[in-house]
Amino acid sequence: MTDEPRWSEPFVAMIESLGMGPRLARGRRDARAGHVRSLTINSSLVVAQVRGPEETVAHRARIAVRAYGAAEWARIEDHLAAEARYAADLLVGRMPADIARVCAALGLPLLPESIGDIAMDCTCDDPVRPCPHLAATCYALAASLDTDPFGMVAWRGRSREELLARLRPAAPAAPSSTPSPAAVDLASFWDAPPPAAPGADAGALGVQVAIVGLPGVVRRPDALLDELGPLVVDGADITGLLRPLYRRLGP
Amino acid sequence: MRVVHGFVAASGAPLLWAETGVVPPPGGRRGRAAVPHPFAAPAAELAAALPGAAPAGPVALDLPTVGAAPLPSPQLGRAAPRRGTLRAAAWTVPAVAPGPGLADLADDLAVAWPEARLGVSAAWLAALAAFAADLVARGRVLPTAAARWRAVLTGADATRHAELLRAQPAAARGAYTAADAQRAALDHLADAAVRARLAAGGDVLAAGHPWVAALAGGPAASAAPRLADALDRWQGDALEPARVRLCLRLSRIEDEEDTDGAGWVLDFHLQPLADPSVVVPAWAVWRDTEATLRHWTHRPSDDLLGGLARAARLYPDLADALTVRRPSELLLDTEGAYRFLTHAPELAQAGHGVFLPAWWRRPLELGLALETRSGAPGAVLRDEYVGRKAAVDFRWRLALGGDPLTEDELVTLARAKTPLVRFRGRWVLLDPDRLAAGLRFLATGAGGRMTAADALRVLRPDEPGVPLPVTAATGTGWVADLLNGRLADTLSLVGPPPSFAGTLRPYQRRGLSWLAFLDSLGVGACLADDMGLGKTAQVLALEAHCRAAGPRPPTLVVCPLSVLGTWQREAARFTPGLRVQVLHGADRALDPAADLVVTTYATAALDATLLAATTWDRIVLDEAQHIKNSAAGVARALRTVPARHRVALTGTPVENRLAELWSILDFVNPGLLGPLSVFRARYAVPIERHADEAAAARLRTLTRPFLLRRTKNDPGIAADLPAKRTRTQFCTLTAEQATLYQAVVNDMLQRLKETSSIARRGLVLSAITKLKQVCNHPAHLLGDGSPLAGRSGKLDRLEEILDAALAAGEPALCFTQYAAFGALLQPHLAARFGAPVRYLHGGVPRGARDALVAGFQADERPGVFLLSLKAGGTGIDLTAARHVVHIDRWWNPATEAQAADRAYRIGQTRDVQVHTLMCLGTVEERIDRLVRDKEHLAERVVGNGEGWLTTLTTAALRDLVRLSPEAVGD
Repeated sequence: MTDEPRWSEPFVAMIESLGMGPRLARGRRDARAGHVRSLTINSSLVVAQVRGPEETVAHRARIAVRAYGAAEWARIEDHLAAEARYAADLLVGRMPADIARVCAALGLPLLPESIGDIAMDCTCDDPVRPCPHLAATCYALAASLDTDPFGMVAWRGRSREELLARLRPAAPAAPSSTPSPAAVDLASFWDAPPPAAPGADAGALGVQVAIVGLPGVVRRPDALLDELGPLVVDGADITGLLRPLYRRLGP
Repeated sequence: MRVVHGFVAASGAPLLWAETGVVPPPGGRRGRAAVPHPFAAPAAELAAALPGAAPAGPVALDLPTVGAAPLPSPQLGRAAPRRGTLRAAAWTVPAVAPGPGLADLADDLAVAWPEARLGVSAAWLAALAAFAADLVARGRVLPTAAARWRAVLTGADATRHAELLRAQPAAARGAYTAADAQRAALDHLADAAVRARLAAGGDVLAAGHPWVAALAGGPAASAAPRLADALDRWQGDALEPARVRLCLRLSRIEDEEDTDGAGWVLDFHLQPLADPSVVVPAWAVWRDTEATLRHWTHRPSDDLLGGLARAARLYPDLADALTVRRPSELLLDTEGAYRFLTHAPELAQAGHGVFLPAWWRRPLELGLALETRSGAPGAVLRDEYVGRKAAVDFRWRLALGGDPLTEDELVTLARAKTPLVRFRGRWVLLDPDRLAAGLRFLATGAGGRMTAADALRVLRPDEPGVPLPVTAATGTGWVADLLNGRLADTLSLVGPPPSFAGTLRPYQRRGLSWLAFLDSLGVGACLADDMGLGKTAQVLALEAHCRAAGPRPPTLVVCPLSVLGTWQREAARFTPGLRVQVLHGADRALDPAADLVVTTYATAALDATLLAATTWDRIVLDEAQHIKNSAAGVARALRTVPARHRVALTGTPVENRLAELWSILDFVNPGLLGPLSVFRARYAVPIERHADEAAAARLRTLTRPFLLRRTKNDPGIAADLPAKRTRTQFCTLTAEQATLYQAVVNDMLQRLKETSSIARRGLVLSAITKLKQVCNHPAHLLGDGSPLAGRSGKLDRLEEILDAALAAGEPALCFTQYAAFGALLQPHLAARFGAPVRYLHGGVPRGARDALVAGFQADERPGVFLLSLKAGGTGIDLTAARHVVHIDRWWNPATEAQAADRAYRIGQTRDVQVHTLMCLGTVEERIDRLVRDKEHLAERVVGNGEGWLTTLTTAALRDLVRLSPEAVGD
């Protein structure tokens, strides 16, 4: 199940539709080479510090979009709250696969759909926009969104926590304490502690059975990777690289 | 005696070390700095004993210490020093890093150091290593940013982890806390296991990404900071088990009209791991009516939704339940229910609870039924149609859960749309591939004639040409009865011949008839009756029965040294007409005229070539668990001994692992169980690891033709047995005992010559006491506190009796006259069995005595209660015991009977077995015979203990205490 979208794809396509091939190609190279020293995504604003090897100072590149207001977010959130799967995905740190489509259908796209939706500036002297710093920033932003797609929501003015809080019923509770370890008893140093009294079990629910040897039963040593979902960092598909290792662990 | 211990080193690596029994006198110890442990085995010795192990240098450990010496571990079986306070002090031990086979430590040690004991800490590390290997094989590991692998503990694995933590001895901890030690060692073992697996694959993986390459065994590399952050987020809390987990329960909506429609519901629940008795349904979570869960979690609804999101990644159908605001269940049709079942193991492994209807516990397995028709087993030995080559009519059918299917049922099953079908009123999960294979097999000729030998052979696992396991044997006639294990009940009974000087109980006659029938077929037999049911008598009756028909080559009986004397005596008693040779000791030429050659496992291994060059009619292995390790030398040697017929006797066919059963049964009928590797994969692993009922049923089908086991509690047997049975257990002396015994005799006879008649009385009584002490144990006479193991034939026999009793869950009382001997035995037996061993002697105050008695009576684990006869004789009830062992003799039947009555009281519902230990060819046996011969005089003659002995003449005394050559075992 590595069918999750590359979130940044529409954004990259939009940038590349500007017809500035050589400049963008350089930006892609620069981003890969690590010229983008930092990148932060805040409500409406992406700020990057970019410095090439031949440059003496870093330039600040900024890309702005319109953050959605409370009423607009409420429309999105009402829609998402109707189905538990959105909150469920957010709870385990995952971006719901169809969230971009849902928001777009409401007329509130997460990523800018045309160059007119964004404003760019940079502290460099290059008169052309996007300058090489902005071009690199675009690609660094794209890679960042693939690793952490919650950047898309943050750019439009919502953090993951805020979004989640609005999708689920609130419920306060008290934290519980953990017991402290017991000291060593020298008299029983060599032996196993006495067995604990058997506790009750959930017999009322039915039986818990190890299902072995049944037809079609799914047993794969790489199932854990599917449980956790894809991991893409700096364009490298880490899950994909780890999968052959896991497959070798099985009997 | 050596004891292997283990601990977790500061690096997280598991290390081993060993204590030896050579405890030097405490030397000086000053200051707090760690000094070398004074009785640890050199690292090179331990490393040489274990494959792949290497010395890891001296490591300092805090060990319990009294005075200037570390306290020996209880497994060493030494009495604790009486004085001094217990404190912790640092000692350096010569540590050894175990190889990749740490999980097999017990097996490796049994081969290399058979006399050594596995300390609780080392056994615990081995269990941890097995757990790590299992986790790795299932891919339950995750990489860290530093390119190390860590174990993932969810679901059943978290439970297992907690069990191991509870069982962890302090000795295993090293410098860590309990939980940290376990986590560090588990991660260390898991990392090593992953690397070993990946290295075994050969070619280089994941070139190009240094961090992934490091995980695959390449040069060390850490993840870049951005990757490290992303890894953290990605793994989330997967490494730590949740406190509350999602449970999915599948159940059938029973609706009279509709049995094929939607029909199934999967409903959701939350369950705190710390208290599995609390189960809260999803609807209650949504209404927030359930305050209970708040003990464990801030937001139960988050746990529910998060659990569902994670489960949906593995079981995509679940997404359908998440399209509503507050999911609580998912409706499924039969096909959907089947799809859920196929995903259930993965969901359970990921830590979710999976609950199935109660009828699921015993899944019905599709297999083959072999129906045979042959003559009645009536006139067994004269019937020429009975034999391995006899042809029988047979017909194959398909069977479900061991019941043959009718044609109509087969048609119904073959037409089913999903593998989940309703059959005979219950739901069954069918394997379509197996069903198809079975139908194809039936279509290619489902009947005909085969030999009885072939009928036995098709039961084997993975038999070529038989596509499914044989799970049922039906039909009529002796072959069918043999195959389904009913033979012992349906055979017409054979009586013992007149040459057998004894009577057999009804169940023993059935046993004899069964043995005789298999003998006539040439099919080996494993008689696995409980201890005390008379296996020796049944085999001797078989010999008398076979030899009544005419002369035959000799039968070889192989037994442990400790029962050599019993075989000798019982053969003389039951079959006086048979010529018995004991093959043992220095002079070991075979007597060509012998009917029965009795030898020990040790001698048989030594003389394997001689034995293999002789023609034997039969080979009988008594206490056959001695060959439980099929790779060990003695098991291999005995397999080369040719015999027409093979018999194994054992009261405990499976002591620890099913592979032991394979070893015994493969000796009895070579090849009939298939190779060990297949046996492991088909039976041992499914049964031991997964408690697979179907595999256990298949194993019973496979073994029941030639395995007969009756227990004392079988209704038919219990009625045949007297409630109290007495048996004399003959023991031999070790060479050390014999030397000491002879020295005491010589000394007594020498001094008798020089003594006045007044001093004579004291001299004789003291000499008799010394002889009885030697018979018990050299250390008992010497009183030097030396270790006990392996130095006394009587102690060996006692250990065997207790072994069998405790394995069967039966508590035992052991009486000795000598309080000093009880004090020696108590720590030794406690170390040997790891079971509670209580000791009551005259010095125990009243309150403590009552606590000991109450503890023994109430104990859930079967234990041993040692009593000095004097203390035990006074009005206490120990009715929990099912065995009474008289370790030494009082020679007063009334006193001994009174002691046994501690365990057996009127109104007692359980039966009791009394074992009297007696050293063959020594004063013990001769006085016993004297007392027996004059039974009617017993009260008068021996009423006052041993005083009457002093009235004997010197010549009579000399004869009484003389050491016969047969007394010496080694």
